[in-house]
Amino acid sequence: MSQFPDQFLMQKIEPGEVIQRLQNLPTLSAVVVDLLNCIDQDDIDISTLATKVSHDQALTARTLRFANSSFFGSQSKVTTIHQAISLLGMQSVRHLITASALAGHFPDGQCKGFDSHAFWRHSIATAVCCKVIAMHMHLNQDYAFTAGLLHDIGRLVLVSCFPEQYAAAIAYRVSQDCHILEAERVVLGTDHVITGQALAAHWNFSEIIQKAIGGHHLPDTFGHASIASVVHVANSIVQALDLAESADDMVAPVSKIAWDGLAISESDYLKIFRETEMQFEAVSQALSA
Amino acid sequence: MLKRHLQIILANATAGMTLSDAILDTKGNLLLPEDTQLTDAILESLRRHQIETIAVAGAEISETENNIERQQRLLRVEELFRSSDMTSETTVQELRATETLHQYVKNFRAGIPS
Repeated sequence: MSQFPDQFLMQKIEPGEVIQRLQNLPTLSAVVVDLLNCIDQDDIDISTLATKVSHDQALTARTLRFANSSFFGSQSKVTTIHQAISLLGMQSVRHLITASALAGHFPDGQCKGFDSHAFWRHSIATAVCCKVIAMHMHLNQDYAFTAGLLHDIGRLVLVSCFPEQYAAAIAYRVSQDCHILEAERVVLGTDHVITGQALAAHWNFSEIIQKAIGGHHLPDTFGHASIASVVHVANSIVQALDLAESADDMVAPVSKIAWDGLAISESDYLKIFRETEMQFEAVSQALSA
Repeated sequence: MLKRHLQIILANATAGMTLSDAILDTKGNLLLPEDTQLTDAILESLRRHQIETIAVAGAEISETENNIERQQRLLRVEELFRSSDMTSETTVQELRATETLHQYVKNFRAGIPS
């Protein structure tokens, strides 16, 4: 690198520091941990889940607001968590609770240049796109959705634990017009894949989600047609479709092994693009209602 | 003049709007053909079928306006794919996969009205 302005020096993060800061993050509520760890259980008991959600005031409020939003067009007002789960479906409730619990977990506005609106649009769009691809490939759609939602969570760790250093990485990205991953590695000496994996291990996310977070920029190590490959390709699709509404977004390079592993035809991809845009519009309208 | 399509969630649909696309149920059966004018009874029935979003006809636009919009969409695609050559880790093979995605997205943006 020929130019390396002073503002980007001395921003390196030691590996030990990440682990130490993670210990200081508040722990996830028991409900969220439960939800993340039982994604593949279709027979989870509604009453048990409803009771757990009801113990968390903030989650209860968000779930009811979602159920009463225009997305579901319900004629009568939903007033209990049990009703909300019956109306929305178990999977939607899990996704919603996970997304909103995580969003509420990381303080906003402390890192200069970090656009949290674009971050969440990208995360939700990737989740939707992963689900659509999984449907086409007959893979587990809920794993895919959750993995897509969480794939960039390491960025939130960096934003909340190292706001000043991360602001320098963002400034570097802007000045060089490069990918954020490259900027993180140059300026911080670490990246959101490493911190995301550390967080996923710290919070005991299931192995499949840990692999998807760890492999979303390097899916080749995790085999063909894995969830990591789906997340990797979905990440680039969502950037190419411009769904984050971020003016300086840039499509990340696509691994040929992951791309070939999915073996999706052009006409199917066009359907996936259309479906992703439609579903994303519906979900984001509902979440902002 | 060309028809412009708008994808909206069902709760935002009102009587009097016109479908710009047929509505199928999850099994692929035709529920309503294209160009159907929505009524309150139809909206209620769609809710019962748990339809979440529908495509309705928006204001008409001229061919010239449509071409300008298409050009703008394609320029934005080029901008988003501006870096396909940069990082040292990018291999020739990755470039090929990225270029294929690039081409698909170009086709997608060229082919459908927004």
